[in-house]
Amino acid sequence: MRLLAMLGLILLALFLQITVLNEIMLLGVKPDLLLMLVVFYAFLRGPREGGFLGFTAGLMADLAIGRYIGLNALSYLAVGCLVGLLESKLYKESSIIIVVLTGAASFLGQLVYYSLLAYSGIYVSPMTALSVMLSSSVYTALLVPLFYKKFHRSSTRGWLSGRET
Amino acid sequence: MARPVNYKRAVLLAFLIFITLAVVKATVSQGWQLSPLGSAARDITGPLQGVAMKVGQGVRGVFSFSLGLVKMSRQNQEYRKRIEELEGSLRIYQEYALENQRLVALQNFKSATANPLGFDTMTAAVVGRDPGNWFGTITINRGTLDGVAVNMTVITPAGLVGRIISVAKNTSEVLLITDPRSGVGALLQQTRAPGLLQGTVSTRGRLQMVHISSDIKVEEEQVVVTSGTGSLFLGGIPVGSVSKSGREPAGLFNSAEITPYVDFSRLEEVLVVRGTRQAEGDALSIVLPPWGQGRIPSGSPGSIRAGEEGAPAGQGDGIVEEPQGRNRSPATGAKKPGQGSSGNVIPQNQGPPAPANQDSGQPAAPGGSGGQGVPVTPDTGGRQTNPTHPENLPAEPGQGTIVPGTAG
Repeated sequence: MRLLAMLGLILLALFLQITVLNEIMLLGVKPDLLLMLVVFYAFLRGPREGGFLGFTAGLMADLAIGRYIGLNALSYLAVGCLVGLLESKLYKESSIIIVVLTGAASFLGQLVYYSLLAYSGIYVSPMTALSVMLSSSVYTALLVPLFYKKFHRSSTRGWLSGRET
Repeated sequence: MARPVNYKRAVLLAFLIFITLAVVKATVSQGWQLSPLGSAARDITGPLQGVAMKVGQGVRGVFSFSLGLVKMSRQNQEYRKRIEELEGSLRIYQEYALENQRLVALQNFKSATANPLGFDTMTAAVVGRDPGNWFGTITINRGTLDGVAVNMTVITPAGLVGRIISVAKNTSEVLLITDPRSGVGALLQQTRAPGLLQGTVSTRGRLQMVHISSDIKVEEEQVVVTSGTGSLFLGGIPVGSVSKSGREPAGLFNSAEITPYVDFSRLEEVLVVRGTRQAEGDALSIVLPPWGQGRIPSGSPGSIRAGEEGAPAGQGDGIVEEPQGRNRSPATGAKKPGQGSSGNVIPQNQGPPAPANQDSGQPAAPGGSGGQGVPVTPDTGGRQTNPTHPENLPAEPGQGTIVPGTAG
């Protein structure tokens, strides 16, 4: 049940990412809802499940784009695993912690993505890349308080709290 | 057994009746005149009646107000529902009105600019975008069934958008010129200096024009148009204006930052150029600049891919017969031997799409293809070439700054 719910959330986030998020771009960037989901899940469930979900979400995004399949999968996998490592080390109820964590994770994910772009032969100037990483990370982190409480509640008592099927 | 008569009560009753009759008698007036007793009674009870009336009215008001509230509440709900429905309809109509405005603008552009230039265009709606912040691709609702093919140029009235990179039956994917994988052969409109436009990151909305000859002075606000020289893109399509200029790190060439005319974050409808025909003879007299300021568009979009062998030197140099009075600058005409001709038309959808980073035939591609580093004489040609943003142009066709016959 939990996996199905997460799958639904990933699809919803991907749909929003492709469509309406373009209307709320700030400084030319849009927030990364998929990454936010991966960070939340990994932070509450640990590196194994976080990494798995990150890879799945990234792969779905890659399939939606249809090119360079694996770029998002690998960067979200890294985010899921690294955030998951902090699962038992940080206080889960604090919004501040998750905001900072999401910002850092987003930056890290974009950094991995940028490295993979270079690996794929796509050159983006470092300064431009840095500005995209920073603005995207800040924007994504700022949206965290809107969603984290609900996600946390659902993970402890709601749909996302069930046993793995 | 008969009940004994209570005389006391009978006397009391008789007395009461007698008194009452006496009062009746006393208050019987002559005509409408009040008797003194009646007058006194009325004076006493009048104020009391007034108070009683007001209390009664208040009570009636409370009851009727409460009942009215229930009724009003019901009506209020109905009105609110109705208002919501009407507001929803209004929003839909506003959306239709805006869409209509945009489509009218597209239609005006098609008739006033695209058709005279010989573009065979088709309107398409943007239905999807790349979900990330790095790449710049959009999905449009036209595919092979509508005659769309890979490498076709995509434009809006404001300027160049990109080119088709993949096609399905009903949808196509467009690579925006701001994508880091994109490259477009371009010219500085005033100096005719060629260069290569590269995307940076899609969301930045900026382009980098590189490999501009170092002896060319690049100034802000100069207009950049596609060169059309051996490129996948048609010539003469405005791209943007120079916002910053400088030197390339190697120091051999100039470079410039270009702000595109098209707002890529707000794309809703675009035009796919399915093909071209010979431009109208007086096209340049009626087309609003900077449209058509590069070369007269010719050939078929996507007919030549980067790295392809073109016509032998001296043949089909890609320069189509130009309208009378039209100058072609040395810069635009400069092509390296063997470079393809936009006049040599290859059926549009033959062959695979060009690989990444080879989108254009770049007159100034790294390694030195045509036009690169060639001293260029500014092409004034008697024409006014003031940079003009398409959005700021007059609506009427024929009010452009080009006067037929004045060039050359």
